[in-house]
Amino acid sequence: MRVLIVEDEPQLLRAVREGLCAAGYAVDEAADGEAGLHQALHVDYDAIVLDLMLPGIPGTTILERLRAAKTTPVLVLTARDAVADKVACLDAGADDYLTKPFAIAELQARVRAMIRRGAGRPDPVVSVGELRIDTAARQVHRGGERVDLTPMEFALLELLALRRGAVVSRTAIYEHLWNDDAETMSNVVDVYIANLRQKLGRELITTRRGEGYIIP
Amino acid sequence: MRFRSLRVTLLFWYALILVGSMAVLGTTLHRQMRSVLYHEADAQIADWTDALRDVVTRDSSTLEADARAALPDGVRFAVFDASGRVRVASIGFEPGTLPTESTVVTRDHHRWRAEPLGSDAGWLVVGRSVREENHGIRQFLITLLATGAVVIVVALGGGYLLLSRVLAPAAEIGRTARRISAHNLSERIPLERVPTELRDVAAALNESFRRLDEAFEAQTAFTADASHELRTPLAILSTHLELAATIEQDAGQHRERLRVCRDAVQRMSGMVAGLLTLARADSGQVPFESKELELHALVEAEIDAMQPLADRVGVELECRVSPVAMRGDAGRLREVVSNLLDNAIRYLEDGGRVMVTLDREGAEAVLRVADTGGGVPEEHRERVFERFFRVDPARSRGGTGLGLAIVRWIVEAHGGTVAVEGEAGVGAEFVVQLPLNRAVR
Repeated sequence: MRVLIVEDEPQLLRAVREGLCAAGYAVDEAADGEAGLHQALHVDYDAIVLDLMLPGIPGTTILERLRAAKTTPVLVLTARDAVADKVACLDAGADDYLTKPFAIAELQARVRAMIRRGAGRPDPVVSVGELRIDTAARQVHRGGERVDLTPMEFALLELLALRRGAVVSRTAIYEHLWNDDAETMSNVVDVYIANLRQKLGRELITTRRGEGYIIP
Repeated sequence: MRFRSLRVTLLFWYALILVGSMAVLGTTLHRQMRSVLYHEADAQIADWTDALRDVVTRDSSTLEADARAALPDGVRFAVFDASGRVRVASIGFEPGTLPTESTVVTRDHHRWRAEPLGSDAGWLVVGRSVREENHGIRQFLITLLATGAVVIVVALGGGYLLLSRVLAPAAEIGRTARRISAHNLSERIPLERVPTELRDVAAALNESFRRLDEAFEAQTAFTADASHELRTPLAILSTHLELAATIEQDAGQHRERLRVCRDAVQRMSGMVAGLLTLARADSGQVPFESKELELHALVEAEIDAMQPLADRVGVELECRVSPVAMRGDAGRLREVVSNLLDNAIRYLEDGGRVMVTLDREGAEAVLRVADTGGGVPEEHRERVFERFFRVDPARSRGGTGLGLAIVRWIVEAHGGTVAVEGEAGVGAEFVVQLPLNRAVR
């Protein structure tokens, strides 16, 4: 899953990035409103973490402009904890908010929840046949037995599982699993698909030639 | 007389005036009535005296019988001869002393008239009872007192009700004021519903509410700002500590994270120290030294101290100072210079320049700190010296937001002024003017 962070305080940006990377997300960052809005409009993020007080464009304006074009889930970080401020940011189109100071664990959980809701699957556990994919604990069980997956394998499985029934193109996989800085080899997706099939069974993921992959 | 209650005071005076008026009225009427009634009696007595005089002057031998015949029954009379002996007297006449002059007197419920009988020929005394008149007068007085009492009771009762009506708007204002102070300071007493006489009171109350409301809002805003300013470094600190505890990393990365945490703590301590300074400033409990000092040396020392920070962020520091000696608090003035420099450097992009000049202009020292940054827009020039005010709320740049407020406090305590000039977009110039010959506050 790919997440954008828009935050102008460098050390806080760094902490949020590290926290979200540790949760297995591909993370992009922007340090001001202009860059943040530009990226949010041009990349198909699974979630956006947005600081409300930004140089350049204020956070609420970013929210409004983003909402005119996209439905990407947005979590707002704000230092203002007055009810009126929370109402204003939710009404401007935010899906959730966190008041500073916050715990990384809570941020991770809220981002997970937003991504699930964004995909239309609020249940943290996705079942596919005898597979149980726990998106919160980032664990997979097959017939009651835990299967060890690497973080990237899990991320790919999660992406396909959350979009179960829909074909996910290779481009979309690249876009959601790696940020712009990542250097990826062209066949890396094939390698991860092969690994998943080997660990979880050949019939789990179907290849649609020229289109992409699908968990039917 | 002073009573706590306005109602009691008014009723007391009201009653006093009523009783006084009734008393004056009663006394006047009583006198008038008696004088009218006695006047009638006196006229009768005068007639009878004339009749008696006629009888006496006829000098008949049957004086007593003639006198009785001439006067109606019940009239009391006596005739004295020149030696004071009673020649004739009616029944019930109490022989008193011999009259010595013509008089009309009241004695023993009787009006008496004494008249000389020619020169040295004796005296005539005629009297009649005024019991009936006196009884009438007494009846009248009793009626007057009774009516007066009833009138006073009714008037006081009416006065009480009237006062309640008059005081009702005041009570209503009190209730409204209490409700406003308890619930919503932004509400006001509706003046158009208040009687003219009480408008001043209501307006004064409204004015107090406005001031309270403003003070309250300023306080709330300040608290919100302070907590807001503390939240960002607190968020940095808490998130990095959490990551340090959960993420695998090597010693170098750990040290780097600890450095970030230390910076955040320093930022918070700076803020807390600033808040404490300003809180003390508000309470007026901070003593200022007043010693001879060389301002130019102090400014140069602060510029040297700031050089490392300027180098780190790529800002050029320039200075041109003239010798200025003054009296003041060296430590506090150092704080002024360092806060102004820190502020200028913090808001400059790379490659900016800060120019510091110190001159003596008349009886003032003028310190200018000019930068090549974005400047301060006209509308914010007064507000930059407020606590936590930021031209762009998102650009905290790690400052405490209190530096300029502290600068203004110190400068004003030295009897000086501080202002920001310079064109927006070209750069800001902070100008501090300090009087040279003035004792510190």
